[in-house]
Amino acid sequence: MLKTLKIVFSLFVLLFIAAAFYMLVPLESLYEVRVTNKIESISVKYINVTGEPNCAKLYEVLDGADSAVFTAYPVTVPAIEETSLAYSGNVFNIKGYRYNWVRENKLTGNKKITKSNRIDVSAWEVETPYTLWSDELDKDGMQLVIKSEEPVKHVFKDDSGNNELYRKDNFIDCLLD
Amino acid sequence: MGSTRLIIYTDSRKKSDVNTFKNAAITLSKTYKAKYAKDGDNIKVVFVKDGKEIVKAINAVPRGKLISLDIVSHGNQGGIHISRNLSPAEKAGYVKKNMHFQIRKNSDSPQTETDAELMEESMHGLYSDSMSKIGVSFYYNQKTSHSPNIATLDEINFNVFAENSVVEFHGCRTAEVIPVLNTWLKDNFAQKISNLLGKKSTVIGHITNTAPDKNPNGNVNDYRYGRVRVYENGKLLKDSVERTKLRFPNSSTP
Repeated sequence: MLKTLKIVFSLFVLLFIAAAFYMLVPLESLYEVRVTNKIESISVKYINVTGEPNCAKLYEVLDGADSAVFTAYPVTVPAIEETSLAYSGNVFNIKGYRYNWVRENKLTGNKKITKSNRIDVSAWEVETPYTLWSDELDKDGMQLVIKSEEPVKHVFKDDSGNNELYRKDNFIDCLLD
Repeated sequence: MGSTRLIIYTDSRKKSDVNTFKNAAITLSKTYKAKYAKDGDNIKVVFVKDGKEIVKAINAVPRGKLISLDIVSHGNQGGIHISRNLSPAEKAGYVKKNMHFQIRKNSDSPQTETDAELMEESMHGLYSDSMSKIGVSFYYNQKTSHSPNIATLDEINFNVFAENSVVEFHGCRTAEVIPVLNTWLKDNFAQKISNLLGKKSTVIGHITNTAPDKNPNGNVNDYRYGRVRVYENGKLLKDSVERTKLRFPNSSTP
């Protein structure tokens, strides 16, 4: 009886270790690499997803389904998401560096490459006309918005191609479900 | 003296989110004024910066007078989520770093092990309990310790709620059911608060993320659309139903 219990317990422990190993995949490393060192231009739309603080707000305008963009900025370029231009429907033209995810098996060296949402933003400008948040309130206390045609553009002047100069936020894609 | 209708909107790291929350809160107050001001109800819109201020605003209502509570905020199944930038960033520690990396590794928004080494945000919201705080902090790699203004539901005096009150969360996922976690181990935030309210009280929470842009009625200042769960006396009353069609006594959509 005791022997049987020992066998069952050992099997349970082995099963648990195998499951943990399967889930944690300790032999796999995960990292992001730039697709190329060439700057790409994309068009993104601001979508006001306010569910979570970390929701991505910029979505690349594609045929069919839009795709979330996880922006990273150098310290001298303001984040679109933090400006008064962060308003529903505004379209921005972004120039920057795209990324891929690399999942690498540490034992075999096999690599699996998938598209990353990250882009290092070297420059951005808003398409006109656009809507921006005003500092004014209406009679009920609601924050007003105004239309504008004034061009707004920011460029990272010291872009040497070094990806360490870009600060990445901990974004999630909130529109997937 | 009429009842109190409390509408709370919260702070966010992004000013545009705060503006959206404020406009949604004022939209709600206009609805309440139109429907209930004639009954002598006191309609209050309050801006809060953290969980302790949410608790303070609720506990300030006289006993049995809080007939409706609306919270416009960020959220998740662990609670009302308020985060701030942590400057300078702090080391995450071995457990949090690895938990964050492993939880997110196979999601659509993974983080690298290097990303997970530093916590760049801290948590300041209102959460179900300590376990929920820890869970949220692992998922987002955010700091919980030494946040004196973070709060949990046990700090709320539930005697202030009227017997037939309505609570609606306008942020995302407060009524989400994560398999195993919320089916076997613990309730989501909306159900947890329903357990603590009177038997005739109703709690409404979103299942998915909320984006007022997507509101089919075109009102970008209104979160009352999309799939929700409704709880009464801690029990599921309506599962995954469209919010726009729902009507409840004492709510903003009677």
